[in-house]
Amino acid sequence: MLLEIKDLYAEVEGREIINGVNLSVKSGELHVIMGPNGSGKTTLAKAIMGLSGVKIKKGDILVDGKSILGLRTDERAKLGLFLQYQIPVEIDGVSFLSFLNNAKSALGGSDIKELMQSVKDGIKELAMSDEVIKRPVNLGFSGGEKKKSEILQMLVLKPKIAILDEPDSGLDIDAVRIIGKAISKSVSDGMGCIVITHYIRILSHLEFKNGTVHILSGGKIVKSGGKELAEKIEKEGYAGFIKE
Amino acid sequence: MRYLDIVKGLEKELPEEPDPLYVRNSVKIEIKNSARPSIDEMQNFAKENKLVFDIITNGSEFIVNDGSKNARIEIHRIEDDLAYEFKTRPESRYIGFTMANIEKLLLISVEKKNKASLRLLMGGEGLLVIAKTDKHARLSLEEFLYGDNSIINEISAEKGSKVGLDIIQLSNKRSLNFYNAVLSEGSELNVNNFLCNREAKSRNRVIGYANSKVTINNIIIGKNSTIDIADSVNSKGPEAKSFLDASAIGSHHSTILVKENSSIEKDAYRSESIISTKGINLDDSKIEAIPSMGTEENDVKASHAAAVSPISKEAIEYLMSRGIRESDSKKLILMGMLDKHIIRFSSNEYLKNRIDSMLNELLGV
Repeated sequence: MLLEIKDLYAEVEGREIINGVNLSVKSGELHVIMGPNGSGKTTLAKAIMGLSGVKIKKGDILVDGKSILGLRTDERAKLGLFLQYQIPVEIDGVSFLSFLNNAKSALGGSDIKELMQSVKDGIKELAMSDEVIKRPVNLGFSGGEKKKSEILQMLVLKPKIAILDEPDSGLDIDAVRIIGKAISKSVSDGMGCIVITHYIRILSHLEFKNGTVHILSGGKIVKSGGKELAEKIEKEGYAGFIKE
Repeated sequence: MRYLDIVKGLEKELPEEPDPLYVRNSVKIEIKNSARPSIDEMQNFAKENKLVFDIITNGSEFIVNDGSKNARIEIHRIEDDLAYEFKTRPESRYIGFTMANIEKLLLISVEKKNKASLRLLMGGEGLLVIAKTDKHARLSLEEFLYGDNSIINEISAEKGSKVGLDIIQLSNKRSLNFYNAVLSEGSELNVNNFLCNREAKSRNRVIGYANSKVTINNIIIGKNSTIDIADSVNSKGPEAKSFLDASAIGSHHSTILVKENSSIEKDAYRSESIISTKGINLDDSKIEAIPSMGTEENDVKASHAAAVSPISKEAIEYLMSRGIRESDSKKLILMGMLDKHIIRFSSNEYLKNRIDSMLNELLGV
């Protein structure tokens, strides 16, 4: 699968946030997007998924050469796109397992035994409590549980390309290691991945063979490079990259 | 107005002690111009919905096997053909029974330590049910209401007895349903009420004495409906418990009013009462939730909460981001709200399927 973002301009509530982003992500590739607060990272993620509040002004988003701008969010998910929410939504009354079952069915998988096995494997891999699947979606979850539940969904739903919006924020060092390992495994299994992050620490837990780091500033990718780019930001900050 | 006659009758103060004749002497039950379905129509409806009912006539006799021995039940018309009487025999440990198309008055008496289970199918017009459970008896009463109808349940539960009352609307026609219950020491009442009529009114009152427990569980689904429901629980003795939990869905410009009231009287110390009402509007429908609570005792646990909102756009979008269609996402959220209520009904599987179909129709799934 190939996700292409071409010369994308987007605004939120009349404010221009994305100003000409170009990015290509293939299956099995890892792309890390870093950038200062307000640089447009989350807006870019929402634009890819077609969430409300983001208005595309110019440019295109394509999957395997076809524009997805006219597709609804659920249709984009069915193509194989997945967004890990920075702040997952709580849904009272809907059990996590029932939600996963509905999502899996919607994406074409209907074998409950298979689903249960992948949930069980995911819970083990992420060192989560079994109880989580009985509870309502994200309700009463700790910050760490919410992040892990999003990654669990990624492991179970097996998207072709995942956009992970700050999967590491608010997590302790052990949880970052566990999540980093799970992401790396999915990427090595062929999933394309965009990781949005503020911190270099998750990079040390990611397999970086096919990795690229991008700096997003002022709604535009201003620099791309290897892991050393992230290390430079860690030392020097974004000052040298900020686009006026 | 017959509606008003009934409401007026029920607004009178309940007597202090259980009085099975209270409603009978106070209220006339009749809905004018109601379209009463035929027995054939009702039987077909029951068959289509996999609900089993027997049609009873005067002198009907049924033998029911409870697994260990047979129990005999006789049905007789009483009071100049105005009523039926259902009475368990002392040796009966369990009686499962169904009735269809009865009218006017049904007397139910469950003897000490007996267990009885009845399922009624109402085809229209009015019915007054007077049920009495002796000490430590059990009664499970399911009332399926089909067509325009009015039904009043007058329940008195003796010490340590337990009553389950499920009222299920089978059509969107007009309905009036009322229940009054007096719970003696240590007795328990579980009411499950499902309303989906185009026009419905429900007025209910429960008095609970020491150590009694009442749970009132309401599901309301409005489609171009005017539904008005008011429950009131009065705790009169120590350690009485009351839980009033309602969820409503408003669609097609419905107006739904849910009033839940609990009052804890002096000397009802260590009592507990929780009121919770939730509502989701799918369009410009109006759901009004009015919880009210009063207590004359200090040593009590009491809380109330009410929340009415449109269906959460964020939640819909989150579910859609996992591949679930918008209409299915809405349904998942609504069923999530209703599931905990549905599971409490005796015929929960039937009700779940029925609500599932209703939501499919409402949401265009």
